[in-house]
Amino acid sequence: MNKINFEFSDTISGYVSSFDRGSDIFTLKTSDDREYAVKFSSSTDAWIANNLNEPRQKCGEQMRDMLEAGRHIFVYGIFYPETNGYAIEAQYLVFSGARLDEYLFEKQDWWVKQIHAIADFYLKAQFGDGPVDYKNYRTIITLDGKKQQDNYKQETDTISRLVYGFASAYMLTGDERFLEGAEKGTEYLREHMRFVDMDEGVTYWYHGIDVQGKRETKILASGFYDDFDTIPAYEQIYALAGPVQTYRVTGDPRILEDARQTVELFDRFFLDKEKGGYFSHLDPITLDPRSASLGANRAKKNWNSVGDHAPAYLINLYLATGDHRYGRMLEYTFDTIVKYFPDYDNSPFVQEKFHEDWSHDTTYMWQQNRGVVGHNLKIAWNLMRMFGELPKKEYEEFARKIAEVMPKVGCDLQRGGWYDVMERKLREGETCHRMGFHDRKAWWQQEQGILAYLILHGVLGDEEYLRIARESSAFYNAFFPDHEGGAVYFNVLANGIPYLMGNERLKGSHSMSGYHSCELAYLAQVCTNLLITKKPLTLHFKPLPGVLPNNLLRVAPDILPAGTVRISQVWVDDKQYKHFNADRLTVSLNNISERVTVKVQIEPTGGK
Amino acid sequence: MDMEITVKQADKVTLVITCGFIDGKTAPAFQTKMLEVLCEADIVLLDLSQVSFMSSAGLRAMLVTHQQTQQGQSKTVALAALPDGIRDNMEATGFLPFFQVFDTVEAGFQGLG
Repeated sequence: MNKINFEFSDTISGYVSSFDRGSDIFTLKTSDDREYAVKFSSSTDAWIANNLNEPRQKCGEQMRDMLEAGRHIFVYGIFYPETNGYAIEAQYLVFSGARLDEYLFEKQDWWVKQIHAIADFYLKAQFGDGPVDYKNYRTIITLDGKKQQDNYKQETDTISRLVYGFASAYMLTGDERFLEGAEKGTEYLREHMRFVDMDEGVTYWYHGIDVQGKRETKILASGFYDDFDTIPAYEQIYALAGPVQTYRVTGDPRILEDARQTVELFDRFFLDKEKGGYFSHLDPITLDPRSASLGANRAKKNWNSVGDHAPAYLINLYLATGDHRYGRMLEYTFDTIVKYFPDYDNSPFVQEKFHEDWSHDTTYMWQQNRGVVGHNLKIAWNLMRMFGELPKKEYEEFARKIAEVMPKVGCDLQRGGWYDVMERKLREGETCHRMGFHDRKAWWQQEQGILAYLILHGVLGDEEYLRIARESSAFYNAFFPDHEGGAVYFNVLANGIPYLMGNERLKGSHSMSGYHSCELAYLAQVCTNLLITKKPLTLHFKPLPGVLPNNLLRVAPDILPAGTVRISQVWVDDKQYKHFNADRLTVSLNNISERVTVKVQIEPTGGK
Repeated sequence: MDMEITVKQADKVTLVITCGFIDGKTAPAFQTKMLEVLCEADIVLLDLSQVSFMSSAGLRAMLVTHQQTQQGQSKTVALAALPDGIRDNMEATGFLPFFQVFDTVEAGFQGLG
């Protein structure tokens, strides 16, 4: 083994345990109880993590006064090898609040401001100051929001993800520009990316379109490496993400029909009626999941094809319609996950790739026998959302199991934050799981960590979950907001410093595009206010006139445990409105013949 | 009803005459044949006058064929003598603008030759 005896710099995440003003040395303990002594240097800087579009508050000399025992901080310092170990000198400190036990990201409007800034960034980057026109949409957006000008490809999922972000931003802020972005994006997807298959009675979505000057070529089969020349379930699922979130706001029946027909595609072609679950890929001509042409994707099932329905569109479709068909489909996907994904005799990570008969696929392309940290965490928070609707013991047990094991193998307990892809098994002689590719931390993995523990705490109340949620959120809000360029970074190094190489310096890629950052802001706002800090939440809707079944607008912010929230006030076009059912979370729009804005205040009931 | 495909070479243009149904059952064979032809030929004229039905599987096969022509070397697939029903379907699904379309095979030879 190597002897490490050179200086290096790194980050420590922990809680202050003592401060000695005489020596100017403080100690902090990591969340797994390892203690470090850190000395201030002449140039140590400190600040409180600021939200997007807010000025950074430097601490100056006050930083020493702020070192109260129990306060959570990040310290970036230089480690010098000395006779008795390493001396650490602080370069900078990052606090999450001005006072002990204050976490600014738990303020009532933190996530509203963040989603506002992120949606603003994407609106300006894609459409400038003019009207929203998706002909001008580009998949590639640089760090500071510049885009390609010549020939380009527009991807269905990438647009749909941004539409999801705009619709969510409208719901939280009521800013009409975001609604315009969501509605026009949905319309663009319907006009350019949709294939209504009248022979089969289903709808599917093109991978994208190639635009060369004024000429547009539709691309049916995926162009992505993993899914090449197939119709992947993943793309069909995410094609619905933006339109369905927009449907929650507008009630546009055309979107509902698209969703119904796409679900029909899942049920008729992706569903394995014999062995259960959804196949991951179809042949683009025959729509056969077992076609030899699919190669490595033939007759496969995976996390995305089974589990991504719920977070991407299905929960939102259920919230907006209350249709039991979608409720049953949700239950089916979660029951399937609980049945097949746990693999704790073999690995702390779930099994997420399967053959047709549910035997484990451990040789698939890049994934091999690796686990994606965020997929594990995403299972946990979505099981807990479903638990609010259907409190099955097995949902809670599986979510708790994930929450128990993941910090030990997927979280960086030294620096904070969640890793990316890990080897699922230890090899001979190893005591810690190896990184699949690198130790960088992606923005979307942080989202999964934050929401997993936030929702677990919100629903079940365990204080340990709140601690991990706070540590995860502190890391994200300290290091991911791009205060110069706008929105959030794709990846940071293990120590929290932005990683700006290759595709990871971009902000409009197929995976990014404002989706995860807005999903995080929306759900963190809902969960923090309604379940944790117990403060009211305001949501905005703008339904088309006369289109909602029974003129009933469903305004539930998410699936939350029964009886935890109710409507406290409603305004229609800024005037107080009394026709609502507080406990059922519905607003009656009878006798309203014009398009109106509906603002709803939802409050915690005080009980669970 | 099955499908039959005949390939004829005339100067620069390869004529592909398709008869019968292009549906879920026959579309894979149609697709395979088209890709085979496109390996050798640069300009293909597809005579659809004897196709009595094209299902969505047929449309998808046409779309994938079109995609293939856009990759790598420049290839042309043109359509001739579309029956009205098939023309309407291709128009409704937005596929028609991807192809050069000729009213007759003769017009196709003239236009492409």
